[in-house]
Amino acid sequence: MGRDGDSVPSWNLAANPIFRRYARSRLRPKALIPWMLVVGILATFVFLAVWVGGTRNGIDTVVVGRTVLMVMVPIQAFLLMLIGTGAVASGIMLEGADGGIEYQRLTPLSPLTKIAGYLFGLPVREYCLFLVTLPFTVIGAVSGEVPIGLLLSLYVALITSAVLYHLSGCVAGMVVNRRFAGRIAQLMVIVLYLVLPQIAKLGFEFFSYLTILPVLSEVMGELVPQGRVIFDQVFGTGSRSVSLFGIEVEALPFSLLIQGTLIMTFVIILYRKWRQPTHHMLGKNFAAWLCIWIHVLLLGSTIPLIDSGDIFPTQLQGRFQRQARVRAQAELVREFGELNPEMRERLLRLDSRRSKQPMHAYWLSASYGVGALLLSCGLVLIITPSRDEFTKALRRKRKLDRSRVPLNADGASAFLHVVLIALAGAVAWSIFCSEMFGSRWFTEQFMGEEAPHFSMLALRLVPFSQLLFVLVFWAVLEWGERRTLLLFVLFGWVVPVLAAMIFMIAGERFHNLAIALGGISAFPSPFYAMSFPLEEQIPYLKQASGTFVAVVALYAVLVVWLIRHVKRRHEEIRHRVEDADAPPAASREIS
Amino acid sequence: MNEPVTDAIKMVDLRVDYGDFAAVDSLSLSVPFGEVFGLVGPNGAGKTSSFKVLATLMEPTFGEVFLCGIDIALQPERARQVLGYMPDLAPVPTDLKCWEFLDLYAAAHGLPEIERHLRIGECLEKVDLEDKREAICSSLSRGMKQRLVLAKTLLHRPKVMLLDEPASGMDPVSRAALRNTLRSLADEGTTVMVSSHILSELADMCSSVGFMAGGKLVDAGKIDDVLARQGSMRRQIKVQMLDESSVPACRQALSDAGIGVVDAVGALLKFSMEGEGGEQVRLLKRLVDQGLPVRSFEEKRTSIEDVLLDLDQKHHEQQGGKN
Repeated sequence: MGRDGDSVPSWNLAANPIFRRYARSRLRPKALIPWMLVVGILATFVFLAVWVGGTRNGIDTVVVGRTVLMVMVPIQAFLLMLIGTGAVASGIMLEGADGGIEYQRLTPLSPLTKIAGYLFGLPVREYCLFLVTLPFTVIGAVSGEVPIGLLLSLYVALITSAVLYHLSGCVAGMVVNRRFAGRIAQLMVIVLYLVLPQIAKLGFEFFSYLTILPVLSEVMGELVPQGRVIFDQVFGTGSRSVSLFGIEVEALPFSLLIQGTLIMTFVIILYRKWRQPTHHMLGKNFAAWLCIWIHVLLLGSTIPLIDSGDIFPTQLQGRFQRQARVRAQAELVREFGELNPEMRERLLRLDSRRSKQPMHAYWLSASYGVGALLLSCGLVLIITPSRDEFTKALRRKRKLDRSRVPLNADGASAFLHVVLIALAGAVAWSIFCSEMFGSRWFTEQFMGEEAPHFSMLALRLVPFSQLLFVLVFWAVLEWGERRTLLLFVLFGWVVPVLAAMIFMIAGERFHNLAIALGGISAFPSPFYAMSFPLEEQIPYLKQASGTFVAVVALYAVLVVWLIRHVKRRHEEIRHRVEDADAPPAASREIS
Repeated sequence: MNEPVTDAIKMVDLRVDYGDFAAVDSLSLSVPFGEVFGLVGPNGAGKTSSFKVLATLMEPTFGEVFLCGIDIALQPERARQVLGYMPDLAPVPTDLKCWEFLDLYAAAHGLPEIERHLRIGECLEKVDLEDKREAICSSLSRGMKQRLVLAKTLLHRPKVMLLDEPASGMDPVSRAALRNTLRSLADEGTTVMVSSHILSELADMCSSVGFMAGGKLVDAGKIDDVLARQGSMRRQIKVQMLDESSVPACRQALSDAGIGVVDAVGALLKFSMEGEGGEQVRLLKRLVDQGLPVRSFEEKRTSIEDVLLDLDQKHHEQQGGKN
C-alpha cells in the first residue's frame, strides 16, 4: 500500500487500475489491428521511399539511414502529439459524461496516481502505434551510425513534448465545461503548437522551446546538415543553444526547463481539481511564484541577446526597414514631387538612417509589456475569489474562530497577490526596457550621429503604469464577478481598439481620434506607455504620449474608486455573515 | 488514548452554502454501525448536498464529518476506503465489459488480483448479474446498469454505504432483491444511508430515518419513534358506514364532536383528530350510541409520506411567514 490510503503508488503504471482500464478498452484487437496496419503501411512506405530512392542514387548509407530517422520523427510526433492529445481530451470528456470521473474521485487512489493513469492510459493506443514506427527508427539509427546520446536527446524531447500536450488535453477535459472541453483542448494545442512558437519569431526565443522544434533542429544539424537549412527555413528556427543569464544552455536542457515548468503547472492544476473540483486552478502563492519564474526565464533568455542584436529576428528588422523605406518614399514624393528613379534611390540611401530609428527597440519592449499584462490578467482571473467563495471563507473563519481568512485560501481577497503579480510584471518589463535602451546594440545604431535624447528614468518607470490596469481588472472581477468583468473588458478594452482600427482605416484626419480611442484599452497600453519617454525620438508618438498621461490619470481615479467599492462589498458580506442568525437545528443520535 | 468509534457516520454542525442560499444548515447527526438509515425530505431539503459532502465529493462551508471515526476533511483517501457511494443516475462506461468495469474499481480499492476475481463473481451474484459477466456495460438495461453499479459499490466491502435513489429504474423483483441485500449488509454491520422518493420502500428498508426540510434536520431516530413523535398530534381516522344514506347524520355527529373537516367518498368518511386511543373509543361509542350504522372504524397509521407532506407544508408556511 502506498501513502495514506493510496492502494497503488503513482509511479507503478503497470499496477495503475486506470491505466489498465484503458489498456483493456483501447487495445482491443478489433480496434488496434486496423490502426497498426495503417501506421505500419505508411511507415513502411516512407522508409522504403527514402531508402530505395537514396541507395539507388548512390547516396551514402549513413546519410540515407539518418534521413530515415529524421523523416520518421514527424510521423511519430503526429501520432503522439496530435492524435494522442485528441484521445486524451476526448477521453477525459467522455469519462466526465460517463460519470467515471466522479467514481474515480471516490476511490482511495491518490490524485497523482489518477493523473498518471489518465495521462498514460488514454493515449495508450497512440503509444502502441508509435512503437510500430520504432523498428524503422532503429534501422535508420544503426545504419546512420547515430550517436546514442543524440538519439536519446531527440526522443526525450519528443516524449516530454507529448506528455505536455497530453496534459493540456487533460486540463481542458477536467477544468473546462464539458460542452466546450473539446474545442478548448484543440485551441490549447493550436496555441501551444502554433501561436506561442510564432512569438519566437518576434524575438522571444523562449516560446519556441514549447515544441520539439529546437531540439529537432539541433539533432538535424548534427545528422543531416543540409536538411537543417531547409528545416530552419520552413520552421523559422535558428541558432539553437540558449544563453540563460550569460550561461550557455543546450537546446534539450532548456526545452526541458520550459516544458517542465508547464508540466508542473498542469499537474498542480489537475491535482487540485482531483482533490476538489471547486478549488481554484492554482493557489495564490503558486500563481505569484509562477509569474515571477516565467519573467525570470524570459528575461534570462532574452537579455543576453540584446547587446549583440541577436534578439531582433530578421523578419522584424526587414519589416521595419521596408516600412521606413515606404515612409521615406512617401515623404520624398510629398516634398519634391515625382523624382527620376536614380535621384530617388540616392535620396533614399541618404535617408537610410530612418531604419535605425529606435522602432525595433520600441516594438519589442512594448510587446514584452503586452505579454506581461496578459500573463498578469490570466493569473488574476484564476486566483480571484467569487462572491460565494469569499462568503464561504468568512463563514468558515467565523465558525473556526479564526482572526482572519488565511491569505493563500481560495476564498481570501486576492489583492496582495494581485499587487505582487502586477509588480513582478512591471519590474520585469522595466528591466527589459532598461536593458534594451541601455544596450550596446542600441547605442551602436547611432554611431557617428547625434545620440537620441530620452529619459532612462522615465523608461524605467512607465512600466509601473501596468499596476493600474491589472488592479482595475482585479477590482472589477472581485467587485462585480465574471459577467461584469466580461462586459468591462468587452466595452472598455476590446471595443475601443476595434473602433480605433476603423478610424485608422477611415483616413488620416481620424488618426488623432483613433490614437485617443485606442489608448483607453489596456491591451495596447504598453505601446502608449513606451511612447511617453520616446516621443521626441518618434514624432508621431506625441499624440499617444498625451493619451497615455490622460489614461493613467483616469485609471488611477478608477482604481481608487473601485477599491473603495470592493472594500464596501467585502464589508457588506462580512456584516451579513456575522449578523446571520443560525438557530440550532435538531441534533440526533440514533441508538 | 483514542475513544472507541461507535458511530459509522457522524456529522457535526454541517453547513453547505450556494451563494446566499444555505442548502444544509447546522446539520448534526450520528448513525451507529449496522443501521439502515433513510434520509427523507422534499426537493431542496438538502439531502443530495449532505450526501455529496458525506461522499467526499463536495467541500462543506464548515462542519465536521467522520466516517468510521475518520475525518473526511483530513484523510479523504482513507475515508474513501470505508465508503461506498451509489449516485441516483448510475452511469457506466460504454467501452468496458461488466467484469472489467468491476475489476477497475476493485483494483482501485486495492484488492489483490487473486481476490478480485472471486469478489467480482460474488458481487455479480449478489445483484443477479452473473450471466452478464462478459457483456459490454452499455448493452445492459437501465435497471441492470443500476444493479451493476450496486455491485461496484459492494466490491471493497464498505463499512458505510450511501445510496441516492438506489431503486430508480429497477423492476419490482430487483427492488425486492435490493431490500434483501441492504438488510443482509446491515446484519453484517454495514451502515447504509439511503435516500429515496419511493417512501413506502424506505419504510420497509430502513431501521431509522431522518427528516430534512429547508436544509435542517427536523427529526431523526428509529422509524416508530419518529412517526410517533411527528404523528402524535393528529391521527387519520377512516369510518366506513353501512350505506351512503347515513353519511349526513354521521357528518353531523362528527361536527358535534368538534371535528370540522371530513372527506366523504361514498360511504367512507375520512378525517383527522387529535388525541390518543381513549379519544377514539369515546368517539366510536358516541356514533354507535346515536344509532349510526358504523361498519368499520380504524386509525390509519401515520406513514413516512404523511410526515413528509406535513413537514413540507409547515416548511412552506414558514417560508411564507418569513416573506
